[in-house]
Amino acid sequence: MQETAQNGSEQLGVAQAAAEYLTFTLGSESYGIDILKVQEIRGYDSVTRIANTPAFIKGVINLRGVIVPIVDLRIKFNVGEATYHEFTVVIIINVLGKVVGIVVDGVSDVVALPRESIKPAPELGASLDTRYITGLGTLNDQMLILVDIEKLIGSDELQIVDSAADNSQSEVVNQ
Amino acid sequence: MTTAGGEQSGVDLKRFNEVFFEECAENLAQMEQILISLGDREPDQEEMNAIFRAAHSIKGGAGIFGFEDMTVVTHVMESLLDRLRNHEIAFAPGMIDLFLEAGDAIAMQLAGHRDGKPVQQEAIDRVRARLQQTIDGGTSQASTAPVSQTQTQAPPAGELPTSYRLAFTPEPEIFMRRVRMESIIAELADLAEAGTFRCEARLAEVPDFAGFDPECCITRWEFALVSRANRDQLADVFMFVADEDQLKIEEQPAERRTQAQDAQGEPALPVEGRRAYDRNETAPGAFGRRCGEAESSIRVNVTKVDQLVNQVGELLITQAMLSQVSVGLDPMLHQSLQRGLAQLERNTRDLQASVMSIRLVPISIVFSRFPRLVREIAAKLGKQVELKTAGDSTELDRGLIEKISDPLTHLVRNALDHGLESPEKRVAAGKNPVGTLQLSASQVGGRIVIDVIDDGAGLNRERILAKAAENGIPCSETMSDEEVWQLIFAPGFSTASEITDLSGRGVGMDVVLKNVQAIGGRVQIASEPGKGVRVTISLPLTLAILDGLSVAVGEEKFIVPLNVVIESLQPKAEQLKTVNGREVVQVRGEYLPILKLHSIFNLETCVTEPCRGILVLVEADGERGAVMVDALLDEQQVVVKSIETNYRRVEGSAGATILGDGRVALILDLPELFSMHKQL
Amino acid sequence: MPKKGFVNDVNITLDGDCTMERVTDLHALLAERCAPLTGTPPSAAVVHVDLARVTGIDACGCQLLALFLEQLRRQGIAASAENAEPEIRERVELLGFCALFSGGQPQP
Repeated sequence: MQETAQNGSEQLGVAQAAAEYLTFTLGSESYGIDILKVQEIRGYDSVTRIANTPAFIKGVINLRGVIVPIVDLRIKFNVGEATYHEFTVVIIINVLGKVVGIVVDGVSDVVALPRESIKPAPELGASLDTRYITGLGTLNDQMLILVDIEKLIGSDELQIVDSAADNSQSEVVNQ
Repeated sequence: MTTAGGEQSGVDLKRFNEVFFEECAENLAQMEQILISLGDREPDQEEMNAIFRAAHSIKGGAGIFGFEDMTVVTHVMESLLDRLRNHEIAFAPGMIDLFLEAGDAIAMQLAGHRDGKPVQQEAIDRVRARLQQTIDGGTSQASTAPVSQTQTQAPPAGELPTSYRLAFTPEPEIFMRRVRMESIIAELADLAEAGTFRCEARLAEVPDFAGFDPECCITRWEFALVSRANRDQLADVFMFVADEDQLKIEEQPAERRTQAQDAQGEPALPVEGRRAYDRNETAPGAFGRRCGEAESSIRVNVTKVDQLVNQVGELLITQAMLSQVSVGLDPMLHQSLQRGLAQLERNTRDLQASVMSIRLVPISIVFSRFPRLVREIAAKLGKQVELKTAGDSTELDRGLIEKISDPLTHLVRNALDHGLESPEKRVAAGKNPVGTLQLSASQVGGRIVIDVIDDGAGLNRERILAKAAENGIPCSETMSDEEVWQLIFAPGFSTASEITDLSGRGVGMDVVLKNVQAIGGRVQIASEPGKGVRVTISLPLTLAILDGLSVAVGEEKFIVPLNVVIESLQPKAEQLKTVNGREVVQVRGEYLPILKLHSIFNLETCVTEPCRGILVLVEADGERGAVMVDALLDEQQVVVKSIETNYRRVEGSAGATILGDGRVALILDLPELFSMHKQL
Repeated sequence: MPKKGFVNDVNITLDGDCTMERVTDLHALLAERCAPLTGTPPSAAVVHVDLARVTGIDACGCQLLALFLEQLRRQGIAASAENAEPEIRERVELLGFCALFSGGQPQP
């Protein structure tokens, strides 16, 4: 009994020491998101537009029978070029009980970052608001901006999640 | 000891409680149904037994699952019923209402446990006290009747006790269900003659201790007792915990041969034994037999069924996708593929129909609440009403059942309040003083049709027109009868002066229409002066699938629910007008606003002029309009999907669907489009 | 919580409720006691489970105790549960576990 408990805590220790991130690019910057939040990566399909939404909400797609909204982070953060072709990548994220697709410039790699190599984010510098950044990592001398994807998807800014079920109506009207 | 069904309950426990709640609700409904059917008549033996049985099972279940409060009223009720059954107390018509009230009290407690609704303890105490009074009063009056001291259903004296052996093999989850075996065994022991009860627990196996799941039941119970109770009464003790095959009851033939056994010529076998009593329905204490359906049906969580429905929906889409792909193929070269696809389509449709049928429940669930409602309202209004129902077994989607009961209730109240005349008026008009209200359901094509028919005075054309004019609802003397009847659905038609205690309640027929439309239904009215009114509700078979018209606007496709579509047309230039800067189309003397989908949804299209596009005339919530689209594509059944699962609500849409090409199309929500159009 | 009472080789004293709500703890506790006892050769000839401090019992608790005792008996250990308060004894009797607690499987 005791032995297994120790093994368990050791494993836990390993998991805490390093986390895996999916890295992608937006413009000239490299970003990383927790790999556990990523459901899949797929190409960009034609989307069905949704009226009266901000430009970065591209619309919805049919992902194996489930209707999934697509957010173009390039438009949202005003980086890179929002073009859509056969190499455009959509990362399907599963957070907060929602499945959401995000469009990025390109997916690079999956990397493991030791916990201690992650530095707190400075106030300025990235296109992304610091609120959504958990820290900065370094990978091959390149800065990696680690995104709190859950917070970003849940934010009022993206307007994916109704901030409160009851006032959704009035919100739409107010826009 | 903690209470088994109490606050500590985990998720699992709630799931098991649910079974009790459902059975309790069914028992209450059954009890009410019988009570209502009695009128003021004294129940016969069979009915009495059925009522007793329902009360008894509620009490038993409540005890086992730890809802002690629910056993209080049921216990007193059971005692009263028992005395009635044994003719220790004389029946009085007032008892029916008392039992109905008791049923209400129990239902309130049930709702309290199930949904956390408030429980008025005073009401429960009152009913309990009145039941007790009836028992006390009745028993003292009936001086010759023996006063039974035992609390449980003591069978009448004279019936000789029989010796029984029972073997109970519980399901492994019985502990997890927090079933209190001690209550069950104690109940069984109560049925035994003093000193004859024996209970022996045995372990069916002796598994390795360390690896054993302590919550898994491996115990088998054997009981021996001498009892005056019959086999069904013994079986009833286990009714919440044992299926037919988990409980074996043997009578010891040595003790005494019952009449029934003599007739059969051999001792009853454990399984068939119950038949002996079924045949002898008048045997004292014989309960109505256990519902036969229970043996051939299973309870399944609704979410599982919904999941199945969704998956079949996916299959339908995939199948449509394949069909679409195959259209481009040369039929000569791909003959077998096409044949296979045709077969797939048939199979998918069949599967869909089968799966949808699982969700179907008979409308009698809704109809069964009306006898009581009608009885009460008629009494209040001093009217005499006979309620007839037809097509009780017509099945419709479970989701629809929940949503149709309010509108139906409203229509029934309306018919009683405004439709049917008082007995005096009826006699004066040469009619039977007893009015008739008929509820009938049937399936016509792909829809369910429910009629609410009364043989009252009918709608009064002049009064409706006057009232509409008074309330500023557009109308004219030249309107056809049908158009006049439709006026009562207009918002604001129902006015304060008309709101009575019964049907008014601040809402009018417009709410009925709105609720019915919300589930894809339509309402029609037919009326004949002096003969009565027929309100017809027609509903789709299911909520998950919708008949739609797919339309194109630019690159996008939308689904217009077919139930709002009146017609579509290509307008001629002279039909198009501008009123206050808004484009309208004139159709048969009516000016309808033109809702340009491309501008509401901000889409790019080359069709921006009404005369180059198609106008789909729609009516929703009593509002009419013309939706302008580029082209009509197809009429099809679509599987309704939620956008909100992963995204927020989308204004102007009532969900979405996936088309044959795999793309998402929004389903239009017309009332919302009307308001969006007004804000443009 | 059922707590371990006085633990020595042959006496196991249970404390508190022996019911469904606590059966997992009880199982862990008894399993711990069971392992050394059921070694070969068994480390004891007689085991008593003392129920004097048991405050509540249900069918699930009875079953677990019965299984524990039965397992020991299979190892040739004379195992029994006794000393219960009258109220508890009555409950055990009602549930039909008397034979299993005192001597072994009842004859069918």
